[in-house]
Amino acid sequence: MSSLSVVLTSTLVLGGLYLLMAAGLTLIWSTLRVFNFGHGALLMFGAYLTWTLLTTTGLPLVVALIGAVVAMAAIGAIYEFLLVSPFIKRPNGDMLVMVATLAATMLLQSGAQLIWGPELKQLPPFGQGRVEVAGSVAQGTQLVTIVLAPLLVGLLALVLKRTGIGLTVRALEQNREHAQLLGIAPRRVYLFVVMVAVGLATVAGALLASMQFMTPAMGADPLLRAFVVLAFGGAGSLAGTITGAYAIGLLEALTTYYFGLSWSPVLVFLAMIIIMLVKPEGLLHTRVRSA
Amino acid sequence: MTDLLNVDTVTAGYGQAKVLRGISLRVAQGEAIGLLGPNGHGKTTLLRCLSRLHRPESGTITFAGRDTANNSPRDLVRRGLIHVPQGSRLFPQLSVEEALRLSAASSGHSRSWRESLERVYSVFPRLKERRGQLTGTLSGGERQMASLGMGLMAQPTLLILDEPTLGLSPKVKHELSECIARVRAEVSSIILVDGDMELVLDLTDRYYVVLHGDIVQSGASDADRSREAMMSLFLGGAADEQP
Repeated sequence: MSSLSVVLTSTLVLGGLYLLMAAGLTLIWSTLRVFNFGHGALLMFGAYLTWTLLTTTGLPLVVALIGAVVAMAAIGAIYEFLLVSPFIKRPNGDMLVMVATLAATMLLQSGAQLIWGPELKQLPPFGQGRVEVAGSVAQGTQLVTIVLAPLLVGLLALVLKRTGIGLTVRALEQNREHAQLLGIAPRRVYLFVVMVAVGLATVAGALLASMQFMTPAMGADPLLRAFVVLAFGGAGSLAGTITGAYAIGLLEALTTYYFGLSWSPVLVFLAMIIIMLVKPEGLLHTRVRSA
Repeated sequence: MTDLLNVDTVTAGYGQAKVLRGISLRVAQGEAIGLLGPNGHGKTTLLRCLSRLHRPESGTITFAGRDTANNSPRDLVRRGLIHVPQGSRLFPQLSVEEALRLSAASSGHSRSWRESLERVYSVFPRLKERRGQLTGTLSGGERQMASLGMGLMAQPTLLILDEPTLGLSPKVKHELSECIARVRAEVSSIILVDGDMELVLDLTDRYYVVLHGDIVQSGASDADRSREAMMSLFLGGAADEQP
């Protein structure tokens, strides 16, 4: 395999995983104006839950994943109920919510350690498919990630663009106060957004857990990368997030290939620091003029 | 005639700053009410209390016979109290038609949104021309029309308009006042707040003057319209406040 093709596969896989994470974070950021620090831990919890469903029920992996997505969406609703809605309307509510999501991270990580113990676990590959394009090979979970991530996020974009709930979400993003005067209940939108975001994180978690071992801390790395994606693409725009996810995937694949795994995070974060210095609203973010 | 809206000795403020100091007023069914008075004296805060964007500290607000103390903004929208906010930047990334449809859907009228849309387009032909355009790219006057149109889409029993002509040129202002007159014909009751005193008095049945968070004067809008009487609306009221 040529060097280029290794980088290409790796870009699409990493980009897909970051996309699943960052799309949910963007959705939460643009409506609640909060960065959900618990997102990585939710990804991890989703992965473990998929493993439990798989091993205890003997269902096929895909069915176990769907079950985990549904269960995690319900956990997302509880998460919103306990951590977001009690705080969000208070003065400095966004800060309170962010601290609450940090606390949730610790709770979920320790909880996973207690429930599932320290033994290493891994999910089997999602499918046996193998595709070779111009010397690049993608197979099994890699292939599924490459296809599924943009598909799900594309579906999300379509829902936001075409459906009533999507219109409501966009309205709340653009003008929270006027949205309330139209009769939109922010609570319902928050609930919807958190559930969708947690569902996407669960898919990311299961895909990741099929390519590497699960640990209670497995969500920390993807969370940091997704943070860089938001900084890159400009939080709040789905188009920016999609571009950002693949750009960071490419950057990571390139730096890993040429400089080695240990240098890659350094260079990724260096890139983020430079972006934040030069264009803090995100490279691809265009401000909407509000005359 | 029963009151559609009754505001009884309401006080409200932001932290230490008291804005409303026991204000009372009423709007009868079918009536158009104007609120006059200088900026920063509580008109907008009063409207925010009416739609429950802001919580009064004391006093009661009754809408259509029921106390609104435990209502959310959404409850009131569903009961027909529609507040079109001031200087609205609207939803810059929604098209005119999306914004109109949204207003019908979120106020619980998604079934009849097409009829409402035709009605709004007949009141504002300009909005029909601009239907596919993002509201963020509209001119100031058109954006106000879109705001009013969204208000109509929610099928209000009481429509509250906060400074609909703020920042518009005299020509556009004139055009918009004609629009408001047409809106007036479509809606049973209206509260109109605007800096243009003549426009408010032309379009309403009664007026209140709000000064320092209270009503200092009220009367019929078609009463003495001499220049002196107009001046005294502000200056006379203001003079009373001087020690």
